Amino acid sequence: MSHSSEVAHHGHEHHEKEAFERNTFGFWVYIMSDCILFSALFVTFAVLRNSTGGTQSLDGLFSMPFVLAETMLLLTSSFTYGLSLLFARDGKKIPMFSMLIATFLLGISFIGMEFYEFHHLITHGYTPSTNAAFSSFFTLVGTHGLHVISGLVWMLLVMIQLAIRGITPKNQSKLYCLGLFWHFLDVIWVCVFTIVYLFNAI
Amino acid sequence: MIDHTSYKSYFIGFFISIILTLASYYIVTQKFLGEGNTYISIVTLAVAQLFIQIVYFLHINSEGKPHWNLISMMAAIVMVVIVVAGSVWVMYNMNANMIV
Repeated sequence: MSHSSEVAHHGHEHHEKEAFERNTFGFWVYIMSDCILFSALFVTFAVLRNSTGGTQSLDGLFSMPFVLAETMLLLTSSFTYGLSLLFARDGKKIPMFSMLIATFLLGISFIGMEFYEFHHLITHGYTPSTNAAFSSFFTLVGTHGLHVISGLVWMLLVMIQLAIRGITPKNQSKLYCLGLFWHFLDVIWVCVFTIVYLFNAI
Repeated sequence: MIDHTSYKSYFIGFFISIILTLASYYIVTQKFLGEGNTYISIVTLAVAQLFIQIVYFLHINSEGKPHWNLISMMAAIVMVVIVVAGSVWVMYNMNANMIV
């Protein structure tokens, strides 16, 4: 390799690293704004949680083992996603795909459980229009669920791109941004688990 | 940031997160602490869990200088605290002063 092409190669790498940092920082700022959105929903729930106007309250309505299972699914999916990021960095394609598929399946199971819970509540007559407490509950948990669904769709798209183009720097940056998003959803779920479900069972 | 991350950090983060989740679940379902102590302990465990996940999964501590991710997170935390504490304060006083 001649000296000039080596310099060009080095410059190219430097440029890619800068682009990676710019992209991930931009996405991080979006996540922080999402954090503020969730804080508004959490505080709405905290304020309205007892505003039942004499109708059904949220007390003792949720099955705790069910919620624990949901939490474990999401927590494990965050872990497997983290591993897939590291496998991608190390260029290990098969382990990366298997971890991504594991994450996807865990995420789908989580969403399935959440749909089941909502369906169960609604068929028993507890809808968002029951009272303010139920409205704020469905809004908070539903918004988190929508985020998880969009994360799953995005994961599918990233997997397709990885399959077609391989582990390119551009795909790695996408994978990393999705990772930030996915871990962030896990962090939000820790708050949902504590503030919505655990507080409710005390 | 991903350059310096090890597989170990994810295993540690995952392990501690599971322990913290099970601990708070156990405290709530077994009801062996008083109501006040239960609230305090599960909030503490949740904060610990957030800290663990931010360090071991989001790797906020391992970015190079200047720490823009950390700075933007601090700004977001300030806003979250204003939104949460402010709303709770206002609504609590409003409820307390309502003539029902």
